[in-house]
Amino acid sequence: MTTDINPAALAVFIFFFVLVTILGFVAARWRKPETLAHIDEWGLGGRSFGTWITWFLVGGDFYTAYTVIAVPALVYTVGAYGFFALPYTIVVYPFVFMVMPVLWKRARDFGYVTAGDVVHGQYGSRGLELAVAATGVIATMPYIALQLVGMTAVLKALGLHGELPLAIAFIVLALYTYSAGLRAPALIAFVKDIMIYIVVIAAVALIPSKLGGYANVFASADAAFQAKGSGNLLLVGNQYVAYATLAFGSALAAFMYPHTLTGIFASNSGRTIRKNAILLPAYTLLLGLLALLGYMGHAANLQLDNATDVVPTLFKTLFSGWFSGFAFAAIAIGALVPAAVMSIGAANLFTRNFWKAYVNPQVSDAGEAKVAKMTSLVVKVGALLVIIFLPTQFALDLQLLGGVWILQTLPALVFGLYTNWFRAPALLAGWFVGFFGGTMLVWDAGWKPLHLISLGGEPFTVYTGLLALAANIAVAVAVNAVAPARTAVRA
Amino acid sequence: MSMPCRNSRRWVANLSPWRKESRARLSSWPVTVCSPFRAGNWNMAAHIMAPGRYLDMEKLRSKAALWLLVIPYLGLLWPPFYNSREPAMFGFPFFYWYQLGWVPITATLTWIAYRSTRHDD
Repeated sequence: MTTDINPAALAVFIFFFVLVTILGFVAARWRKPETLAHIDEWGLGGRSFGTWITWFLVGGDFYTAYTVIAVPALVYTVGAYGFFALPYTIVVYPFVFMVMPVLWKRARDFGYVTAGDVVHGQYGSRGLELAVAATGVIATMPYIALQLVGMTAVLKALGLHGELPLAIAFIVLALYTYSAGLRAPALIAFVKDIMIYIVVIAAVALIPSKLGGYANVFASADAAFQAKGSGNLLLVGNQYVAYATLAFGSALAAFMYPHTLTGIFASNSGRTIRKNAILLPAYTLLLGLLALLGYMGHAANLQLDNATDVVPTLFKTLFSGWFSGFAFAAIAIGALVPAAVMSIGAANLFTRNFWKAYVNPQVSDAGEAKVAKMTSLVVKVGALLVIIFLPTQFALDLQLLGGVWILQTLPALVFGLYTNWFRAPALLAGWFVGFFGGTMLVWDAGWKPLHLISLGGEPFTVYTGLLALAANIAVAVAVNAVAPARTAVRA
Repeated sequence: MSMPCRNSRRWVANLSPWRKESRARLSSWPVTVCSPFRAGNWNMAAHIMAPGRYLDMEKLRSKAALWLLVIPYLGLLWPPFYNSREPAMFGFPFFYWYQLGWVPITATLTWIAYRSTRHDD
């Protein structure tokens, strides 16, 4: 891959980066509240986002830059199996439609800001609250770090090497998030998402015509897989269960993350969330088409050192200089939006469920906002240091584990919306088993989130997160049934 | 919102795909619930008389929506069903266009469920 700097591409890239930086700082004045010194305002945008803002914000932070880079890279490497991201991001929306408005209502009625707040309010248990909040933070940290991986890939394609450009981009991001809170990524998401739509539509319309049509794209991918003896255009028999459980488990986990929940809590009504469950699949269509860029990489005969370079290299090879600069800007900005929302979500968790719970229970609203702002800075700098000083593989492994971990908060967070049967000790026991059992299984499989099972017949692999969740629920039910009931707590 | 009786009627009318059937099944409800007070303040009547019935209705409605929303799971989480190259469309093997096709289908199903949901929040 050539790494000369293309002046046109770089100029376009810098133009858009400066544009969103200005937007980020202006956002503090956008839909200006009486004060930003309140965690509801800084961390949830005043719970006032309507259908469109929510659509851009959730779309912008759920479909991350890492997704744009990693899904095509996976499809490039393994073929059909990497396509599980598509059913995953389809079946997630019926779940969002049914569960998230209920959760939103609970949060709005009681003034909850985080998943930890919801759990504490439901069960009155500091232990369970801490488990849920800590899981949220540690599952999010590597996710933020991976946004930097996505960004590094495009910076590299632009010819910008070393850590300095990355550090500058992230520090600028940290500063405007500090000052404007959730309003910054919400406003930037408009620019980012429109740019991504333009790039993907251009890519799926133009690239195949340069590569001899879609039939040829699929045929050359097929030939490439057969030549290297791995990967396949279709699933092979023992991948069925893994494919389906990965899709289903990831869908259940997706809206347990602090960044997606922040987007949900920031919306102005249950109706807004339901509408978004109808409208957000537009992004899924985008993702499905984007995944095919992996096959186009084969059709274009790209020579890659690293599969994550497939999208940047493809754009660079097939697009003119200025348009590839535009595409890279779209991806880089696509890293900023989720990174900002993730750091805000993690900061909210730390402030509400650790600082307020243990350090200073009398903290004022303004004090909460201040702690959250500082935390968001620390979180971003931490992610930057992780990427600079630790091997990338470390962040990748942790992010896979993060999915298994965050899924274990589902029973505590969701079951209480529908039943008062469960009690805190049972859910905590379930979380414990799911969290540590899941971690052990992933470690045992060599840091792969898939577990081999053979029930007499042909062995098959299952998504570990879903296995751990099943154990989690089973333990919670068993403990709850056996343990003596005490007086119900309901805050 | 404060008018469960009226809303429940509106909902019956709105359950479009099975409008006739559901009307036949449910038509007696609002009447039974509200009739004693029909001439008078029937909003109040609903609050006093019908919490149980109203809950039933609520359940039934969300149940109908729930069944619609289960369909994408059935369509997508059984890969052997769609794991084939043929029939291809526009150069896309079946595996790919089938799954992409579920995006608009799911959005449409969700939209139908949305229409039959009472948005009291």
